[in-house]
Amino acid sequence: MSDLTSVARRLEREVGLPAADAKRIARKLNKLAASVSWATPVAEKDEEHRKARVRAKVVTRKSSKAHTAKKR
Amino acid sequence: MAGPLIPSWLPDHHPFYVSPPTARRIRRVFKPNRIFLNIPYASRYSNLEVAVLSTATAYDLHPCMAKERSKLEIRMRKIGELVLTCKYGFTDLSYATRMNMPFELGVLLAWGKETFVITSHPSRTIKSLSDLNFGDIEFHRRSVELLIEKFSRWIERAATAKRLTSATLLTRYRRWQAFRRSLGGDFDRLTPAQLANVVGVAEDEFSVRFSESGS
Repeated sequence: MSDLTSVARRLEREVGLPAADAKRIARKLNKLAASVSWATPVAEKDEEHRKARVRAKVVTRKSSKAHTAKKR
Repeated sequence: MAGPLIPSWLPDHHPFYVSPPTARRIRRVFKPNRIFLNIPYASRYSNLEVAVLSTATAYDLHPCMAKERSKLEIRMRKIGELVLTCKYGFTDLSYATRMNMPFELGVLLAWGKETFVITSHPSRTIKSLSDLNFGDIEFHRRSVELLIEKFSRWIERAATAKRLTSATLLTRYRRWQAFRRSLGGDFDRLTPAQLANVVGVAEDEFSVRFSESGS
């Protein structure tokens, strides 16, 4: 399934836009797609990105617990 | 005409001289579905501009305009090169006081480009450009609906076997307007060719139905 990052990459590749412009336009198009009945919005972030964030959170939580234990 | 016309007979001091690298570029870029848009860059024309873009792209034509090339080049050479990369032309003579558009129309016609000519009110244009036959000019009275109807009829006659209804084209125009509002300043910054590509990506990625009738 598509997400904003892949749409932005496609805009970079197929339209020749700089990365920042492609990201901004992808976000604007997604906002439009979410507000009309004749288009379908895509996910804000991809699944890999979501998993990576979850992993990062777990690590942070673990390290903060370890830090608290050490303090005690 | 299979390939582009290259006016190789022009001497190098001529404003429309085509150098060998330019000729190679023209041959590379030329497509039989490219259309040169000779339209005013005025804010009050913007709704009509959206109508021209949405209609041309509905028939898979690739629009291009003089504003889409580097500012460093000599303007006339730049326009000449762009015209040569297109098979078709679109000219709106609504602003009869500005000479750029009649001039570019002359270039389009001289180089054998099939050109659609329209104006807001025909009588005004005929007065200032009497060489053109009255029957060759369409008029839109600043109405988006009239422009879409007449332009689409010409495209179906001159450029494609594709047939679209007025309702489909009007829906497409309204959705292009929504697209323009959502892009804001980016819409004006992008060239017509880039806008057509963004629409293509949006159709794929967001399942945008630009031409389907409905709300």
